[in-house]
Amino acid sequence: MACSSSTAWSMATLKAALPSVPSPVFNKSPNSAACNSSSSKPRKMGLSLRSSKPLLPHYSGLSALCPLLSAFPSGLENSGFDSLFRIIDNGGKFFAMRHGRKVPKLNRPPDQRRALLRGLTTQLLKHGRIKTTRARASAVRKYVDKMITLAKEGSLHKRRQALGFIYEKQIVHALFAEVPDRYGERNGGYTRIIRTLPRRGDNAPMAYIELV
Amino acid sequence: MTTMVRSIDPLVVGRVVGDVLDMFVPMADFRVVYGTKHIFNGCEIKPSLAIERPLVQISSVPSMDSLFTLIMIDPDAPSPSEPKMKEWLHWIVADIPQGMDASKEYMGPKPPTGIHRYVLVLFRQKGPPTKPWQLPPARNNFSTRSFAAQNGLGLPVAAVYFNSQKEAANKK
Repeated sequence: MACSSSTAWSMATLKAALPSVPSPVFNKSPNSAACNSSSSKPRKMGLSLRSSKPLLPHYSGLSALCPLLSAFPSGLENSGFDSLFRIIDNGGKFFAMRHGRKVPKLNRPPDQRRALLRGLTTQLLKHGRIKTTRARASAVRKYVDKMITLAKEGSLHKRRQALGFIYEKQIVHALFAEVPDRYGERNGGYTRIIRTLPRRGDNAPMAYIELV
Repeated sequence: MTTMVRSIDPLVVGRVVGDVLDMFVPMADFRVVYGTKHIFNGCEIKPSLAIERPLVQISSVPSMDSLFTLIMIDPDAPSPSEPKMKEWLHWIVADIPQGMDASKEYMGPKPPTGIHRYVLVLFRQKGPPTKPWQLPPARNNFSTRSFAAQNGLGLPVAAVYFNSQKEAANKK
């Protein structure tokens, strides 16, 4: 299955190598299909339908295979295989376990840490989705959930507590107005973290954190 | 949080499948290219790069030679925390490859606040393009599901999404 014309890793080669694909179309010419997909695409004006050999087998009825095949994001073949390892890499910590570590220090003294987390929650509540480093995203989850819980309670005392934490007044008022409708039935877990490619300048692992 | 169903499919992780589409089995493959950047799920594209319409190449099983419909929408309009105008329609092209029947003119991403997802969905048309398309009057509050149901498009055959946010204005 060696299609050595390009260094980019090709999905079609992997799909050809995987067992138990009973489609007859697939067994015909996996090599040429792999070569087709890895060569550079000719520039075509507007939309074009490739009338050459099929690159994908007909997937009907094989949906059980899809989760496996899509384990490798199909579009990342262009950026090379090693970027996948960067996503899975844990940053080279000394110990494999997290026993007893409750507070994320974020490489900052306590006052700066608090300011950073306040700023991040303010921005997340303002924009709905922000892109930051993975450590910061997982640290800010707790504070965003706390703010949304305060808004769910809705009393004056809670509002003042929220005003003491979030930097912008308008956001607190908007939050208290909107949270009962939006998160009324949901118990906890008001954020979601999606990991992405590392940052170019320092290879820091990045993530999107968004409200639900 | 004892058991969490973890999905690794990027469309599910990015909640495209929940917010915009229903779960589907990808039947076709298509590549979207903005300038020199190939789109993969979740990549970051600057609005300035996406002003012009992209190059779209569809590769599918040619034995079922059929026409396709491409829709580009933004489910996070105007802001991901308050998607009031969900979804915002950016582009519809019908009857591919027969003709470049751009039913709705291409409009580039213009995220006012926050990081928006832009989803490109490909549907396979069932019959010949005899009936005229019911174009939505406005771009906001578009629903991909109801559009597909209205025009009998069924489940999508392919989808890809990318992220975009407002660029910092150049201060001179």
